[in-house]
Amino acid sequence: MKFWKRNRDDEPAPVGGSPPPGETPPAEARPTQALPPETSPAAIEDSIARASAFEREFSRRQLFGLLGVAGAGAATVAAMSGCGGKAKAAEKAALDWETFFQGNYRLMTEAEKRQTVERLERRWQMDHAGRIGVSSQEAVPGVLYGYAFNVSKCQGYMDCVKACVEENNTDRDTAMQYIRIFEVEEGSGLSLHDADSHFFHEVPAAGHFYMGVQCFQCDVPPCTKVCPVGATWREPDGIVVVDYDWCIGCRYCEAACPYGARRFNWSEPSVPDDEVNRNQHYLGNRLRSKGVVEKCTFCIQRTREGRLPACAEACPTGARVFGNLLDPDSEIRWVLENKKVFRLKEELGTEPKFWYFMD
Amino acid sequence: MRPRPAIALLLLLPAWLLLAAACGPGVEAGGGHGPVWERHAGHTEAGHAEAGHGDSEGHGDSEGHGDSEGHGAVPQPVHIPAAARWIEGVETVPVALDGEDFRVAARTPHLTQAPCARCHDEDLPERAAALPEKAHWNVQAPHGAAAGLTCASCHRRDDPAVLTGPSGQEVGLDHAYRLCSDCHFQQVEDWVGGAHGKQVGAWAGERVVESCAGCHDPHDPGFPKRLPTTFAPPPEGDDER
Repeated sequence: MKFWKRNRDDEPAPVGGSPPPGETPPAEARPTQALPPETSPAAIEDSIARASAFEREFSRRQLFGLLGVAGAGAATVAAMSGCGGKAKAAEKAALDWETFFQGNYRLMTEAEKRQTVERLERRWQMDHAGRIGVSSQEAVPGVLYGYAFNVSKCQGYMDCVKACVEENNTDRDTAMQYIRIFEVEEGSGLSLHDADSHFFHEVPAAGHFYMGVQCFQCDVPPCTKVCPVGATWREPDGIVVVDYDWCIGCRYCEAACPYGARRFNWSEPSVPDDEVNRNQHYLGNRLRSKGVVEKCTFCIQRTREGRLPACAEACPTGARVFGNLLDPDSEIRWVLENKKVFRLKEELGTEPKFWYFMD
Repeated sequence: MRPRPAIALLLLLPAWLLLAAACGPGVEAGGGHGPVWERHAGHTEAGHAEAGHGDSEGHGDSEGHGDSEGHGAVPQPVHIPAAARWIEGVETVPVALDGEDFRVAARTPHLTQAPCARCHDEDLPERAAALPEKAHWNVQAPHGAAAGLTCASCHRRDDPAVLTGPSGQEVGLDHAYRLCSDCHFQQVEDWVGGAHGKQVGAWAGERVVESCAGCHDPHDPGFPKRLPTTFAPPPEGDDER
């Protein structure tokens, strides 16, 4: 019998590490409904059935929560025997322990989500001045976000890039940016291969136009399919998100994205305290750690509150149109129905929810 | 306590398998035909997202999806209470143009020389000696100068705060878009629809847009050449990132 199936009341939680998996527990510690010997076919079927009920019976999270309490208890005792100032260190350790073993955000209950974001807020407060607010706001029913980019309006000013970096707490050391503005030579077609995304000269340059590229929040996202751990998915409002605490950093999604929209944290991201945007969302701009993938989320922390994404708000030329695709009176729907629009690599069937148009 | 990574990994394995089973169907979205939003009408709530995809592939007709769900056939306006926060403090005036009703950010609160009576009062002649000789000397208007436009092409001579254009209509400064549309009718049409101009603050709630002069200097409406505002230039050769 697997030790995590034991009745918790029968035996105290193991302290100082888990027992070896092969060890058979003493007979009196087994639950009253003892399983038949493991070798029989019936037992195998039964154990399969139990495995499917695994999450409900005794979830991994509960188990480690229990271990965490034991660990924190031990740490607290150690702290109290030392000097009193170490109680904070013990709390930190307990919070970090819980974070390390927290479940996948997508499978969390409302209460668990709330606990998780509260833990993030508390953990920040212990190391920094001031507070952050982390939201777990769900998708608003009846909303499907869409974006349109006016190629003939963009002047290449890159105000959107600046606003995005400031809004989304992206790493300053490596100058991580979700948006690329490509300077394309007129008459060269829409090939971005020869386009320049690192220009730094007076804009708009004669004979060029500008095209912004970011995550298109594909309706059929290839990136989410390849994730081996279910750490990235499409939300009901169409935004493709990452659970940074569940991401294992394999970068399959980065390879699967045909648009180069995902970014990887090669080092611990750094954002100066006074530049941290404290209005955060668990699936959005909360602070990431080393070794995880991140991406544009249409500023989920803003848009789920009805606000425009930072890039759209910052654009001085009005080249960026954002809104609800399910609202026939929205600006985005007017653009899509009245302008000639196109999307990048449409033939791949990824159904980007990001269109380009011209006046 | 000492962590036992090997055991922790062993424990994670079944959870991974379960996750793959639980999350797998959610990312399977069929191609289908017609605009993205038609496929999603009525399928936007969690749980429907999975069921709604893929079934439009066979018959090629995606219209009417969602009707069977009993909701979403007639889209209801989304109400997000927080949306009003983002346009708080923005003074607006109502616009009714081309059958569309929305609001435009008011222009007058941002003007330093309007209304005229702010300076041009009864005492002005007395104060005049102490004032600079040319109060409006800095106003340059390259706008349409090549086509022969002058101040009087847009401002009424006896009251410059009243705008008047080729069509002869007279409008206040807050409704300058009516004047602009005398020449730039295509742009104003796009502005009314949403392809030109900017929404203010929120995508949800009441539609508030920038006025023409909110983005364009009416005397010099083109955008200037300048250096890009990069937060920090991205590293060279990272185009795969």
